[in-house]
Parts: sequence; C-alpha cells; structure tokens
Amino acid sequence: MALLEIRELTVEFAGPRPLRAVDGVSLDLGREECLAIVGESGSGKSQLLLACVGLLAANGRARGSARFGGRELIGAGDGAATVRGRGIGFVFQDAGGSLTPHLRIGEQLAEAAVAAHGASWESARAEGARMLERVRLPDAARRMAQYPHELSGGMRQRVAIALALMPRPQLLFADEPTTALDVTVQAEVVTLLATLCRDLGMALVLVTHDLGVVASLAGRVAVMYAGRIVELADAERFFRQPRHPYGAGLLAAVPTLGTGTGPLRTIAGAPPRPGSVFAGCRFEPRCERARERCRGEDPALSAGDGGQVACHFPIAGGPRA
Amino acid sequence: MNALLELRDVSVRYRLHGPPPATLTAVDGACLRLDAGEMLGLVGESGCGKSSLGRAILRLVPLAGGEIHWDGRRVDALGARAFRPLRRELQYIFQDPHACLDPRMTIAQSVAEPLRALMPGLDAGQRAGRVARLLAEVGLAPELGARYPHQLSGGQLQRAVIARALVPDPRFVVCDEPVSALDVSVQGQIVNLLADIRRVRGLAGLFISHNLAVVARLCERVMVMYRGRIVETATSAALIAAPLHPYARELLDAVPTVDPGERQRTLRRRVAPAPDDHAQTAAGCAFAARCPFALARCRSERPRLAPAAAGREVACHRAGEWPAGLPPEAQP
Repeated sequence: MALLEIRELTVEFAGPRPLRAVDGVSLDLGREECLAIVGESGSGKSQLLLACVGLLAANGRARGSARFGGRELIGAGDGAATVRGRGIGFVFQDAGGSLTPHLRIGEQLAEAAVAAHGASWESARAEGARMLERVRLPDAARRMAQYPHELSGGMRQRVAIALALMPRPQLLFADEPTTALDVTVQAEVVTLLATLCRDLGMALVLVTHDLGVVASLAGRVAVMYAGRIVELADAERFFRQPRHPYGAGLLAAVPTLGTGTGPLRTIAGAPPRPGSVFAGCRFEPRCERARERCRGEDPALSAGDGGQVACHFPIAGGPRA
Repeated sequence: MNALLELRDVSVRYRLHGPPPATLTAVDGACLRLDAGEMLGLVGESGCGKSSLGRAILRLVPLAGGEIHWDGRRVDALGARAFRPLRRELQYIFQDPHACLDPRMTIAQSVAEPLRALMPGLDAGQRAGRVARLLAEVGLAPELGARYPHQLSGGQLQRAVIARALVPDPRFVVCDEPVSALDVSVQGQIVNLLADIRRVRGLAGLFISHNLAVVARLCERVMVMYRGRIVETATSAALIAAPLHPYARELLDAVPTVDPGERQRTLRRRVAPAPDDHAQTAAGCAFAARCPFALARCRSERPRLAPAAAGREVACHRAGEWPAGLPPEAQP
C-alpha cells in the first residue's frame, strides 16, 4: 500500500473570480520515496500540498481524496489534525515564517516533541539538541538559547527542518525549501534533505521550480502545469528524455555552464493566468508541437515508457537532442 | 584608451542603529574598469555587496571612500546638481518588476516618467513617440502600454521595467538580478532580450547575478565578490574553465546541473553550513573561515587583488600555487 494516495484532488478558491488551482490530480507515493513536483508559479504545486495538510486559505476548498497511511485527510476536519501533525512534517520556503520570533530555538523544538508524543520537557530539550546536530547546525547547545533573528537564512532553514522532524514524521513536505537561500547554501540544504530522508527512512515530497535541485535529489518527478500533472516519470528517465513538450522546454531553458554563449532556449509566451478556462490542452498555446487535435481535446494522463504523460503527441524515446 | 567607467578603491558603509551602533562595510575597496559597450558580470551571494556597488555607481547610496571616473571625468565629488545630467546616461534595472512600477500608472505612463525628469525639453508627442519605440524594442505589443501593472505577467512587467530604464538612451545600465524573480521558462526570454539590446545599442553595463551560468551568456568578463571584496576577475570562459579563487569554485559548483550523469556530483558536496560569522575580518582574508585551503597567513594578512594569468586578477595568497586552476583537494 502506498504511504500517500491522492485521488482526483481538486482545489478551488471562491471569490469574485473563482479559480481552480488544482484540477483532478492523482498521485501515489511509496514509503521512503522522494518525489519532486516541478512547475512554474501558479501551477498549483504548493496548493496540492497545502490541501493535504489542511492549510488552504480560508476561501479555499479541496475535493477528492488524499489518504495517508489509510486515513483520509480531505474533508476530515480537525479529526485529521493529529494524523497530520505526527505523520507529515512541512518545511516552507520562508524559514523565518515558520519559526516563532519571540521564542528561543530550544523551546520551539522541545514544544514540538512535547506536543507530538508527550515527552517531558527535559527529554524534549535533549531531543531538540540532538536534532540540531542531525541537521548539521554547528554549536547546537548555543543555538538552543538563541532567537530566530540571530541566525542566518540558511541556518533558520536548518532549524525549520529540525522542527518539522521533531514529531518523527514518516513523510516530509518541503515547499521550495531552497528558493530563498543563496546558491552556495542551496546546495547544502538539498544535500541535507537527501541525507535525512535516507537516514530516517522518511518519504519526501519536494515542491520546486528549480530543476537543478530536482536533479540532485528526486527519485521521481511530477511536472505540473496549470493545475494538472502533465508528466510523471522516474527522474533518471525524465532528465534523459522528457516526453511532455512542457517538461522538455523547462529542461532546455535551464541555463547551464559550458553550453556556449548563444541565445538561451525558451518557451514562448507565459503560463496561463489562474482562473483561465481551457477547451483543449492547457499547454497548446505555447507548444511548438501543437496540432488541431490539441486545441479541441484535453489530453488525459496515460501510462507509457516508464511513466505517464498527458499529451496527444509526446516526444518519442531516444536520446535528448 | 580611457575606460568608460572606472572605480578606484570604492567603499560603501552603512551605519547600523544598534544597540550597539556599528558600521557595516558593504563594499570594501572595489576597483573596476569597464570599456564602452562592455557588459561586466558581477557574481556573489546575497549580502556580499554587489547591489551596493551597483547603487554606488549611480549615487543611490553614498560613497564612504574611493573615486568614480565616468568618461574620463571624476564624478563622485560632483554636487547633486552637477551630477544630474549624468542620470540620463546611467540607469538601473531592479530585480522585482512588481515592486518598481507604480500600480496606479499605466505601463506607458511609467515608461514615460523618466523623460519628464531627465529630458524636460521633450513635448508630449515626442515622449509618446519614444515610449512607443521602446515598447516595441522590448517586445511589448502597443496595446499593453494602456494597461496597468497588475494586468501584465511577470515577464511582461520586466520588459516594461527594461523599457523604462532605456527610454532616456543611457550608455550604462546596472542590471541587478533582472531575471531572478521570474519563472524559468520566462527567464531565458529576458536574458535573450538583454543580449539583443546590448548588441544593437552597444550598451555598457554591470550585470549582477548569483548565477554564473546566466552571467556567462551575457558577459565577456566577470568579477566575483565575497563579503564586500572583489576576489577574482577573469573572462567568463576562463573562470568557468578554471577558477583560481576557492570561493569562485564554490559558486561554480553551486550552479545547478540537469545532466543526469552529474546528478551525484552535487550530493558529494559538503553538508556542513558555512560559518555565519559576519564579524569584520579586516585583518585577514574574508573567505579564510570557510576556505579549505586557508593557512595561518590567510587569517592575519589581507590578500590584495593582484594580476594572475593573462587578463585575470585574484585576491588569494595561495593562487600562485595553482596557476592552471585550483587543485581538487586542499593541500596543507
């Protein structure tokens, strides 16, 4: 049985212009698996995770199903809070935002352990210090007595990761955990996440727009576009041969060293505005391979060649051009 | 030949309102030379002083020391009024396009705004003509001029910001992380646009970024900055092929790769965080605390930026030991 089973999950926001941020997404995640969800801003990747942990904004509504260890998370109200709190850790983009500014690091870590498994404050503090060492924060004893503002951005993100791990979750959601960090620090945090998941036997869902981060971390990749998963594949296969034109375009658009000084490959146009209505394929207006059928008929996500792709005319196998 | 822009020992300091009050040296004795039509790259992590350096050139922050020479003339000592004509020639493109356009002005009004201040001789018709030309140059459809910022995508907004910087026909533009806030699929469009504009206009500039792969696309030459100091300057190609400063290599290693064969390389990187000691390391090398190659001398004596191989400079006591590039591992 999968650790997390998402079925036909839809997230909608009410308002003067109602919009659907996630549109019927289905996804399975195995134990100790590392899945990356990539896509541009507005693709719905963050809302998918937030819906699973019940953190949608007040005007947001989730429909469909997300089962974690067999327990339903969607529409279960506060009944699912304990399941989530103990089973799923969440690391946000802005580490400062997930730490309480007026509490010392040590208190925040201990509080999480006390709340999750009723540890005594003594042992919870000791556990917190051990967790800081686990996230490779040097000088853990001193850090325990510090406030969040006394740490650099990279260190705050390490503390936020430690905090998410205190209840010893089986699954960690990380939403753009490296985006707000410097490039040299990004590499450190990515490496840390990979190490932690391996050491703690934890599954990871990583949401990012940075394909470089994905390449170094994920076992599987889901590409989201305009609220849908358009490609789902083993990372190895995806980076060797993406099959959806959007996934291929994203990969080609990443500037890398040593690829000369000619113009960068780009995808024409811009992602659709949230709330847009589509008749056919959502990527069709920007797609170089689009044909008549793409304008009228919405492609379903269907299996083939080591993954799934939602495209009428996917890129065939063979080495990447 | 005279350089178009020359900085000599430029420093920028900020007073920190304590407690206790302190001084932060954001730029520490930076020197650079830039020829007409040259786009110079400036890379480093956030907080290293690269934006402060760019702003100091345009006098958006005051200099704590040093000289700025523009077109053969010393300009840092000019009074505000005497500097004013130069504002037309020196422009700035900021990182976040959402933050630098007035939400209550149409795009055309925003693009026309600098003309009112910098070229007051133009009448409304001439201004409109210039705005129309600029919108076309940055690839915005004419009808977008009548729209407001919230009606445009991030990429379109950044095009408008670029148009506004270019509308007074500057000779030098600071591009401060102009693509960092944009989606991946749009970043390339803006980088390509800047490359085209640079070629067509023969525009000089300083291109600030934390991503060496982007800088290499646009700039012949690049400077690496660490904690307020320039630690290496080289051609982009030479730096990528063989960095001489240990920090430059760290930055290079941090450029993400999407090559499956190289995936594991990133995982071998160190997992311990960089020390967070922002105390001023006036005595020694600013990078010594993080540097795997550091010797006792590096902590006590500050390395000067000195010529290394042809056309490149490096500020490292040990650079002479690796003229062909850093060795893979530290040798004591």
